[in-house]
Amino acid sequence: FLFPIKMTSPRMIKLTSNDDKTFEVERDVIKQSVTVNTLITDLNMDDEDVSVENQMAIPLPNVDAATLEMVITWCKQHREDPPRNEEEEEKKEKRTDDIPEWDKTFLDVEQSVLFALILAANYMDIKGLLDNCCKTVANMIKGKTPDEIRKHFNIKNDFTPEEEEQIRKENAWCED
Amino acid sequence: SNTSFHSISEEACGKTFCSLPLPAHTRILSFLPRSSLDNLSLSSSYWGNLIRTSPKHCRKKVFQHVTLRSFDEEFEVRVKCSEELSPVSKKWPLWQGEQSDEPPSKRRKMDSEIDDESVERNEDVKSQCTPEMFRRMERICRIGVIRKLSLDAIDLTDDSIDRLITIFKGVDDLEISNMDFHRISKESAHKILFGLSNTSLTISFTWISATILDTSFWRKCSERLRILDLDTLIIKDRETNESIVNDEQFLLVCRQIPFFRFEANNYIKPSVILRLIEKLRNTS
Repeated sequence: FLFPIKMTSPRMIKLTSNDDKTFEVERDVIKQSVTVNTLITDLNMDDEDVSVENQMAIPLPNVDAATLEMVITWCKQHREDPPRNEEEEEKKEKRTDDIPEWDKTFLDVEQSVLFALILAANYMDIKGLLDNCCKTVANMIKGKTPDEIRKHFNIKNDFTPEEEEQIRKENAWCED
Repeated sequence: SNTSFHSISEEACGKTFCSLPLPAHTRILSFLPRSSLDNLSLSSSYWGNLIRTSPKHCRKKVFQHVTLRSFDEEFEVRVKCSEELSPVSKKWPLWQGEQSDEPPSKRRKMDSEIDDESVERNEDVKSQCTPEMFRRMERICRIGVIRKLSLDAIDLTDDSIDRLITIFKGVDDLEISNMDFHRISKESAHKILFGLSNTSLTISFTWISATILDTSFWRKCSERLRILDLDTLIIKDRETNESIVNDEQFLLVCRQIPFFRFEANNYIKPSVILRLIEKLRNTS
């Protein structure tokens, strides 16, 4: 006997960037964003009777289209990741050499793009993306002298030599 | 660079490291080792201030156990970074010009030392907390997160307790030893014993009165602590010579705190212990 199988298409959610571009994304993919997830629940958008055409788009006023596209790509890649236990994550040793290879390539972008992703991940509350972005920035800082850090991130040195010396002395405590 | 996303928006172009929000900055700091934090703090005053004042969880270094000891005109800081590593100790003389006007405290000649002529009654052992001591304490807290803090022979006053609480708030485990709680108010004593949000408290070789170990003390113990260790010489009130622990309160606390150690010298009657065992058996 062959039974007809009802193929249910995945539930889709609409997201609108701050430059008015709308993206349709699977509910299962965007659940990694705590902000979006909360909005979906609060606005009762999981109601299966409402078609995606009639569904209200969730505005993301802090995220532009290019960044949102990247965020969605990241979420698609990580849709099978096990849910994070934040308490456990906080207890873990803070490492920066455990960024997955796919993420390393994905985050190998201009600094401004990386920072836009950090802002989006922070706003959309996507802990995994935020952590991997922050680890990437931390890796840029590691091993650099204060002057190299300034050059790399275009930071203006506003210390007087006396202030700089004072901080050097303070930092030295407990190391000697 | 990853070239799959070419369309960098104008908005993204304006994003710089320094323009990220504070939660992102503190998250980045949490992934940096101490040496990188030091170098970043030297890059600009913004980073210097942020790293100096960042929440404790952002700091890489964890001190498993920090002991602060003020003894015989010297201030000693002993730091143990992990169970495996030996503690590192450093001493600083307390300079004459810095010392408080108040006379140093005296140590009570302990019962066990009554026959020991080498121990003089009212022997000077402690110095008042000086600005230099506070400065050292603040520096340790800037560098790392302290899990266990031992205050040994630190002479406490109502003011110094407030300062210590500000500096060490967030410590999990507090140990008080060789202290004199008779010169400070009950409120201040409770502040230092419970005010660091510690869930473990050890008191040993400390003058402590029945006024301090009142009903509210036991209530706070049962509400806030997972571990309470009252070591030797929490025996009798100095003024009244009465046992400072009420049997009923003792029973109550024994049943409410997961780990409660009480030195036998504390004059708990065997009948109380038997009642406790009986009660525990009945409730298990």
